[in-house]
Amino acid sequence: MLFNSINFAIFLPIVFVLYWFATNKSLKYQNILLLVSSYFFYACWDWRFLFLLVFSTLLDYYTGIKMFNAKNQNVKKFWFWLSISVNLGFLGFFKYYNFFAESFAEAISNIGLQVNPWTLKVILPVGISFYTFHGLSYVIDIYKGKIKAEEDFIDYSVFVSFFPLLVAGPIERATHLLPQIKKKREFNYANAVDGLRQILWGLFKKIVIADNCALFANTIFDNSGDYSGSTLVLGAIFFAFQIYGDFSGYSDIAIGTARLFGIDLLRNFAFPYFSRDIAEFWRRWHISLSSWFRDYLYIPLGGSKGGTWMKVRNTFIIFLVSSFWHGANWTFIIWGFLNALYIMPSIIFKTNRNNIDIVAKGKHLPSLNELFSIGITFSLTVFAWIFFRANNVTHAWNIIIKIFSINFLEIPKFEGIDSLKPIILLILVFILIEWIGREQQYSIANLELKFPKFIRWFFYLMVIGAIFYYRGKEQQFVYFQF
Amino acid sequence: MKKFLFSSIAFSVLIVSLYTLISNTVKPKNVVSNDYMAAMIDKHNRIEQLNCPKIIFAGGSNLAFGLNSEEVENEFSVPVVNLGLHKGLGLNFILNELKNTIKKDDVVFLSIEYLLESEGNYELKKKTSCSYKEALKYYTYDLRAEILIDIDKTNKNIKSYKKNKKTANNLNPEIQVYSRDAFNKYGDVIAHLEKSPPKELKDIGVLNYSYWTGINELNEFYKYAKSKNVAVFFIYPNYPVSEFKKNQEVIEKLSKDLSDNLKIEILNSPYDFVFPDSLFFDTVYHLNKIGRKLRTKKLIEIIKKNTNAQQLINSIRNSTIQPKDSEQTKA
Repeated sequence: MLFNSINFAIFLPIVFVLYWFATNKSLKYQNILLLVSSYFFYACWDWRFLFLLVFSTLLDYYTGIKMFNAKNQNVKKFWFWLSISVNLGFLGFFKYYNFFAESFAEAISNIGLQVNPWTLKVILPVGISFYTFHGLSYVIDIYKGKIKAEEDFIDYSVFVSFFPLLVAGPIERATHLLPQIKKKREFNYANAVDGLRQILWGLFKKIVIADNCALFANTIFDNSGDYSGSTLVLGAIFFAFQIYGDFSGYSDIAIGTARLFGIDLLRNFAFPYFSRDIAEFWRRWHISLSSWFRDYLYIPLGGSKGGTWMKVRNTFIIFLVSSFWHGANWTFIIWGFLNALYIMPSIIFKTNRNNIDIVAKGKHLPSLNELFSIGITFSLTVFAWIFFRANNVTHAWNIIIKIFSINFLEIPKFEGIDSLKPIILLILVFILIEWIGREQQYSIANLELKFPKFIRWFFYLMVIGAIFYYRGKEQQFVYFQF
Repeated sequence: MKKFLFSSIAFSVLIVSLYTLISNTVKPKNVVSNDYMAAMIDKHNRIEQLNCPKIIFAGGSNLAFGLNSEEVENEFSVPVVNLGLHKGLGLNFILNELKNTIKKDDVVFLSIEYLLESEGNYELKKKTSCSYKEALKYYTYDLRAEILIDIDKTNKNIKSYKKNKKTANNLNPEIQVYSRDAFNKYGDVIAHLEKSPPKELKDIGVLNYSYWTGINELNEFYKYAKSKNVAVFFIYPNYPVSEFKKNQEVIEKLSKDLSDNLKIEILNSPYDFVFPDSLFFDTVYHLNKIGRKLRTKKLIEIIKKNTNAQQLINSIRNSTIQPKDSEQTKA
């Protein structure tokens, strides 16, 4: 069930009404309803993988209790490693088995031996990377003594499977979400309205921006051999907006939906394309994953305490693991490596925390210097996205060669260019709205404070009208494949 | 909570009302459908008027563009209806249409495009049922698809409204080939016969092999037809030689699967209707005038060679009045 589907538009109000009217007297019933709804939501994709989700939940729930109650450190370690290995084992099998089998066969063939890789038709269970990371953070936090083990199985299951975040995050932490699940939730009008507003903005980003950009990006990337360097640059820019609209739109819908149920999820995006350097970009892009890696990998590896070279090593490790998290493909690994390279100067010269606040805070416009920095950062990001989007390394390489050739100077031309004007205009309006609202949680969050009701309603109608009128061809959310 | 619900409902009502208002304002009025899919009305009218055992050709547009039904009718002296219309309707729709159409002693020749998918295009099915209401029985209603189609339709209407073109009719001569008027009374497209074809064929591509689940659907249909005392035969579609070469391996595998698993008698081999590219009109399944003539001639020979088919056709001929007489009665 996609967030931008009619099915979800029916499912959500039903769960909402049941939640606040039928089960509002008891927290237990509310949580049971959330769990049943979440499992139904998940089963709509493929009910068979529900067993995997339930198994993973049971495993972490049980090992959590065992670890917490263990009096002996070795016993604690045993349960900890059992949980970690099974979780990563499942993730590794479903996500990386074929990649390793094929890469091994290729490596062997390079030394003259022929091996037929024993590949399986492994289907990736949707959301596995996300709910596995939920479970891992919970187990690690118990092991480190940061939290107690959750004894209520229903509450723990809701933490892992809460439907707004189940398939593509934000990746939650037990310390943040579990207390909310255990606490009686009261309906809050302002919160619910804000939730709906965020859902609307998320739908706009996904349906209007991402789906339309996807159409152009797909045409250009799928026929890259036929197009000039300038067209390929345009394709990469479209992909940059596609992936941002798609994933941040998804996150907005997820966060907005959770707010309808009185639950706050972690922020996932904070206007990353307005970043002035790559370090800032990574503090603003997929925040819940970046901070997960920071807390559970970068800091345990020594973080920045061991001097510059340790920081460099740890940064490369983080980007390598992060790229691998996205998928088993060399293109992701190069994408991660490129980002690690980009960030290196700021790590070495200790300028990585120069830009903490949002750009031009309290001002209408950025300075020329800031504008230049944003432009450079955006260009570097777009360049790295080429690897992220390309079908394989050769494909990416061919695109880059063309971009850096003489035909970069040609006027961009591709199939469907005639319908480009309104989309460019929409993207510009979108950038403008994002710029105006960049100091908020999401760009239209402060609408309530600034404008009277009739203007707000008019604005919402305009956004809905744009969603109807400029609806792009329906595309799967990009991050579902991870 | 009450305030929230009231506001949400009020806002939803506002959106739905505005949408309905806009949708109705921009809807083209009193447009008589001359759409290609509306040809289904005439095909079924003919079946109703004939009201006797007949030969039915069913499949996609390979039949609509690639058969001279009149010649077949004259050759066998048995009424012929060509139901072939569009492969985009999907196999399920085509077979459901047949199930609702066939009558005792009919002889059905199925010519299905290679690896035709079961479900087809919902928008096309919807479009067909807008012209021919009975078609609603041939597919399952999908609320989600209906809503999306309605939104798309409204969007298109807004665009044409803005351009002050309220009718869907287009005067582009190429489009006329894809219109209800393009068909003759037997259900064949004839408007393209004297037209010069576009430079390139559409629908070219590589077929991907996997066991065609359509075989099971065809077997189920065969069972149903048998229970109604209707004979069914399978014939391969026409295909251009360049595309055939490209997809030969897949087509041969498919042909083997069909020979091994299809319960319907197959009258020919895929090679029979492989013609030079120059004999095709605009897509890999649409023959031009010469190609159509050649295919019809070959098809008649193939049917004549098959004793079962020949016998069944003979028995129709013997038990019914001549088609020309029936036409006179109709008139």
